[in-house]
Amino acid sequence: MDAMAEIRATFFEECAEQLAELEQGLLAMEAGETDSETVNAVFRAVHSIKGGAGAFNLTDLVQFAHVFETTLDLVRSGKLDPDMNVVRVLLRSADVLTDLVTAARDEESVDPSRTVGLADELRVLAEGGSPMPAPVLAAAPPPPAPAEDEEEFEFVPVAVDFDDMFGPAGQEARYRIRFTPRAELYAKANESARLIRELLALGEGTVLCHAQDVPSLPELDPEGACLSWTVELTTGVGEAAIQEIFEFVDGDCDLSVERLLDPVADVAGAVDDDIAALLARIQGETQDEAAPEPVVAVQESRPEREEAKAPPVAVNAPANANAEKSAAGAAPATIRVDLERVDRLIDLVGELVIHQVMLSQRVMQAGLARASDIAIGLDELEQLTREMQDSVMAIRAQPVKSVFQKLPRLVREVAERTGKSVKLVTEGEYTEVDKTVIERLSDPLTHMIRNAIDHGLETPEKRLAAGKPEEGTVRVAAMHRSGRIVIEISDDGAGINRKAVCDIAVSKGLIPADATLSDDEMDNLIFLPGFSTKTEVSELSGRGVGMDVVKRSIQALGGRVSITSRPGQGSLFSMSLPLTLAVLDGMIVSAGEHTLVVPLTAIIETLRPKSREVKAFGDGARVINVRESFLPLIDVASELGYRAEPTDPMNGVAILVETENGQRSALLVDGIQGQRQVVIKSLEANYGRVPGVAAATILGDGRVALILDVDVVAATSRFETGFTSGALQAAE
Amino acid sequence: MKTVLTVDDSRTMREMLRRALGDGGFHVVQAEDGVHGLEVLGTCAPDVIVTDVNMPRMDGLTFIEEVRKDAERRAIPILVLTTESDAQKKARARAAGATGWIVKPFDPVKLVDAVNRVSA
Repeated sequence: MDAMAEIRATFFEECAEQLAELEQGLLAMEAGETDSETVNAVFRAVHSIKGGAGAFNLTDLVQFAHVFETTLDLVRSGKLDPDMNVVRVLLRSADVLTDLVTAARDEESVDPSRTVGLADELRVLAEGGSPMPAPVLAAAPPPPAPAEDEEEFEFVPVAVDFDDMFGPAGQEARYRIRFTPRAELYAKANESARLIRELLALGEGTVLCHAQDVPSLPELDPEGACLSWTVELTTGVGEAAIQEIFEFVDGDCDLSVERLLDPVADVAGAVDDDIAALLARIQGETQDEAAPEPVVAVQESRPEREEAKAPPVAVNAPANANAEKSAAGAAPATIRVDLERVDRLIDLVGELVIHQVMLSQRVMQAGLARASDIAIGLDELEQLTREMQDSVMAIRAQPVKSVFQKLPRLVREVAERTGKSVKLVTEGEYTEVDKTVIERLSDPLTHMIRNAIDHGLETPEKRLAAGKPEEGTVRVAAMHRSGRIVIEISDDGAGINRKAVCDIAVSKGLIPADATLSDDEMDNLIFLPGFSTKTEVSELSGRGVGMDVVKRSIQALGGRVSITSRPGQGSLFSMSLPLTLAVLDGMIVSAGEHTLVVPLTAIIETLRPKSREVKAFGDGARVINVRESFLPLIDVASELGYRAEPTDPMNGVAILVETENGQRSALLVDGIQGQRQVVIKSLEANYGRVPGVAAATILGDGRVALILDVDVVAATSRFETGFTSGALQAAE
Repeated sequence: MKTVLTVDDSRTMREMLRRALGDGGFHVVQAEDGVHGLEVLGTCAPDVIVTDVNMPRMDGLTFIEEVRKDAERRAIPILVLTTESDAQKKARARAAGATGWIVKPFDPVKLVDAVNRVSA
């Protein structure tokens, strides 16, 4: 990547940050926080984007950002009240700005109708919002009459054509430049000597210093200005170039540039006069050594004199600023690290964990006493390894905020297109989860929120008729629950229309017409492949993608999704995902000849079945009575095909598990070997997807063990005689 | 080699300034805002300062005023980076004590030229 491309990449990275800040600020404004801090941050975000975009010649982006910025400037200066209407326009402008940034990054273009329309709205705000007719525009130098974008746009390209600026070279002319600096010029670190040197660089010339105003030493003001100069210059560059040298000091000096017609005579006259005056002054007012030298000496001594005069200010000001800085510097320092490096480290720590476990096992096998030094050392090693693993995982953990931040915009867009009024409530945005999980969370979440608004919420009229507030609420909450992250998307809409859902499922042949389903089962029909509640594919929730795809993408992350719906009151979708995709606490069990890992998070308890508790049920199925409730008893080994006949429950151990949707089952295994943390190795990446198996791991003795997908095993068995087994297999 | 302190809250801008000035033969020291700029000034003595105006914590104009209050640093030329090319904003920068200004987006050659001009 060349340097410019690198800076460009930095720019777009920074844009993303600025846009997030912009949106956050605007949302705060929407919530009534209109303090100058918030408004300034919003302004700065747009301003920064505009600045960078200008550097990359992203004209569309610059133009829109400019109009946006102008309106924000009015808000900032208190000339425009950021009421709801204004903030809404600003929020939509932020959306367009985001699109423009994305388009610029991908070198695409944005539909101009959106940009122009909103730019117009912004202008209307800017004009209507000012108490006097457009004071800001009036204050700007020459306001080019109700101009078009291009003209109003104030950037002047800096790369100037030197010929245009300085006129055609070669036509020499003589100029007389009279230059009288004022004290302010020196106070801003400009130097007369430098300016005169620059002048002389333009051509041939003579310089005359007027020292007649230099007072005697005791009266001299060290910060004053008492010298002036006349420069006679012969140059072909033109007057504009001369004026340009004094560009920075304009207003801090008296300057006249005069083109001379009769060069020689004028110069001579001027010089004679000045020299005569100077000589008179030197002779009359000053002593022997009073030539121009003292002037120079005095000027050079200025810094020392000031220092002597004003030490308290000089020393204290920066010191205070430093103290403030360290007080304010409580914000945690961060570094940016290439993700690959972190992942490499995680991999290595994963290997370390495996080897630590292997080592422990071998030491134990060697028959060393628990209290031996080696065993104690190993315990410490195990603890350290575990801490190390947690710390490394924490590097990858990020708050879900980055995903949640995109939601307000999504909600606005969907609300606008469906004509619904929606309030978004987010909770737990600082809940942390692995970066990969966050990245892959975005799509399903987006889809579910679209669904919630499009299908879940009623139109304002229907809501009013149902006695609900006109504005619907969509709530998105993230929380940690038993070692997983749970994200809930709920709405206060109409809930799932079970009859319609069943009708559709029947008409699509997903269930038999005479099926009797529980409410829960009816709600879950929407997750079946090929199900869509709209007859034609809706533009919003559609794209031909159903909830089954959402479910699958969440499952691919080791997550589950479930739904609870109450007619007339709304629906709640709950996604549960692992915090990390790399490690898992598991119970090591034997099933047939194999060793399996059951995720600890799914296990409630283990028990030894007694013969009176186990009942046969239907076609080879068995249930177990656990404290007066009957749970399906699933022989894992025969379920996975490790043996043909189910084993005698009395010889095994029943592991009570709870699936994501709260259903309980008992898994029958031959024995429990232990409990430990295992490093997850994707089976799909190395082999292929196997129903009932979530992933694999390497055990302490180096053998590969499969990690059981409890939900699938439990569900397959549960619905074996039911209607969904075919659908489930299809989903796998 | 002359040292330039650049003060800008935008990474993009800082990077562009660093490259342009680096290519122009300057040693570049960076700060992220006015407060940081003052802090950096405690540890190095740049020949020129180039600062943005709009920054969090301490804006460019306040930063310039602070630098000008300090006798030791008073003589450092300060150029202001500004997207606003209108006279009013330049006047405000000048009132704060700016030596000159550079209009963004800047041409690297022009930037180096301007820095050379004020540091000569």
